[in-house]
Amino acid sequence: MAHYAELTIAPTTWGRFRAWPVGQLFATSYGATVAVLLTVAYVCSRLGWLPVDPNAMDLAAMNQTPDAAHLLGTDFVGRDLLSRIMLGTQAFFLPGLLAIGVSLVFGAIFGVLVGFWPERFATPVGVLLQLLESLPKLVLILLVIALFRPDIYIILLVVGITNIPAAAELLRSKIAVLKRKSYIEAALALGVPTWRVIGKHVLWLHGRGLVLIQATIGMGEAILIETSLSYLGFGVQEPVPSWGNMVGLGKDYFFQGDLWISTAPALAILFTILGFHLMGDALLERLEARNSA
Amino acid sequence: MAVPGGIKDRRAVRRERPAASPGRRVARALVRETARTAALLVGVTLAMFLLLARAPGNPAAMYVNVTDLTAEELAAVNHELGLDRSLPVRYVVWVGRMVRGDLGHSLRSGRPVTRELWQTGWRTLLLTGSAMLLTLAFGALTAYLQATRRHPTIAGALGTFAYVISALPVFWLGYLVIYIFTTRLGVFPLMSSGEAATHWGFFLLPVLVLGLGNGTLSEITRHLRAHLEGVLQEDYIRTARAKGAPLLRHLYKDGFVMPLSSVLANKLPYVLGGAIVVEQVFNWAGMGRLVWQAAADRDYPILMGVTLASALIVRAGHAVKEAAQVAANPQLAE
Repeated sequence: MAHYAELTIAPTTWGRFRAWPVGQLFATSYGATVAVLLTVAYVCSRLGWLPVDPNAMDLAAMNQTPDAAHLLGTDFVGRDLLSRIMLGTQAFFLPGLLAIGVSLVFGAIFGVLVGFWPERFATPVGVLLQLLESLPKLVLILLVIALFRPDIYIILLVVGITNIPAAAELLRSKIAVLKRKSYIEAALALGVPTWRVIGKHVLWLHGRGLVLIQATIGMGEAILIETSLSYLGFGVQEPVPSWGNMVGLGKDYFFQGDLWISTAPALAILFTILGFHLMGDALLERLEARNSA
Repeated sequence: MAVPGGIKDRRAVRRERPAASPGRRVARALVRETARTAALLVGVTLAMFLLLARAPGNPAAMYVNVTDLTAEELAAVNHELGLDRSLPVRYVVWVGRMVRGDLGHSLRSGRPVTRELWQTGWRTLLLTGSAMLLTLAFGALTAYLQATRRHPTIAGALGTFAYVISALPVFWLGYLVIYIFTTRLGVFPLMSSGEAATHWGFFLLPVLVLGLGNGTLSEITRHLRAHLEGVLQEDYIRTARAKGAPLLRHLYKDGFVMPLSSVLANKLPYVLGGAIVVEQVFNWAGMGRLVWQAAADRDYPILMGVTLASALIVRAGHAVKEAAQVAANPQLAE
């Protein structure tokens, strides 16, 4: 029967993508667009391909709203806001990837340990993770900043460490489900080494989606922490732009009615974090709801 | 297999024991949480101590102003504070001082850290607690509307609002609110003026900004909604609906008390962290301003005190969660 044959053909990648609900599709494509734009902005700023020199002051064109010469307007000393926002991606891009990497690697180690051997590792690892969770991230980071005056890489390394519990918990709950599946049991019973079962069936075949989800959530978090710290004056310092310190510096003009200087970088934060939140939630629903059912 | 009431299976017999009264269950849960908190605080203080020992500078500065001392006086102070002894001994002495309530003196103001903490801590607790309640109330309402699908337009609007406001930087949101309410509408006096300290807007606006803009709203709403949708499919809810009983009376324990208390415990650290930023925006003289100033001045004693206090607040959130869950569900009591 034609219908039967059709059903057995594995859907193409595009076909599977089209089967997504519209909301999830929109959220994921918007988030992916944000990620691509961020990468482009970062690479351009590294290569020096900025529309205007971000540190060039133009006292004849201060506090301007967007126009042809300055696509996103200028700040209180006439510096081009678009160039500064693009340059501002440097404050969190690589450090954010570092934070994601740290939380993923250690989250995977702890998650596998607790997931596969709960009777042996659940208590020690649980205590360690609870210890990390019992302090607000910002307080811990301010403590480290005051003690060591580290640069932004070390600060986001600490952010990555504080994200380990979330990553570990995500993987642990996944493994708790997987461990009861008969193919895992069969593989172990047939004598497949445990490390291969972990590496292939758990981390590669079922953990790939989690990496994407955790990376998405982690980047949003990294941007949030970096901008908050730079706003508070502990992260990236003027004249080096960060989206956080740009909002903070526009404060006095904001209250006088020149809303744009603070609002442009704030909108950059809004659209970026919104993209990562939407994509993370959509992927979580898409990849996890299906597997745990 | 043991037949209940027949063969003496120990597990079956244990299961038949009548559940303890809610008051006793909560009391036991609180005792358990206190013990857990004490154990965790040992870990937190140990981590803090090791960080402090690795940090540049002289730890004697926690207690005295080291810059005006001669070498001999410094040695005497070091001896008196036990700084010439080994690390484990110093840790025990340090914790002993803390237990007696001696957290040292602020390097900036010279006043005892405990007094500074009492003076600022209640403001932060007020701000964080009210904001957390606002977050939970908004999340619960939105999730309920979304899960019951009764008012899809309102639910959709609230859900979108939650996403957008969670992605907005809380400091810019604070500026916007101040601008609208003071510069534009003139409803409230400017936050920096003395008159503002007694004005009720001085309390309301930061709570509003922190409660809605702490960045966890969309996540909380999504979590509550998924949980509520699960509970609404349970058989007992269907039965309650079929016999026309009020839905909320059957729903509130599993649908609200359990997830809301979990969210409270898990998200309190985020809201507390957000309070640091919001206090900065609104010039709110709480613990967040204190720790901000201390981080700028490298005021170690204050930083240690605030770290300890925030760990206590976070653990208090967990205690509330445990108490609420054990009261709602006797099966969780051991």
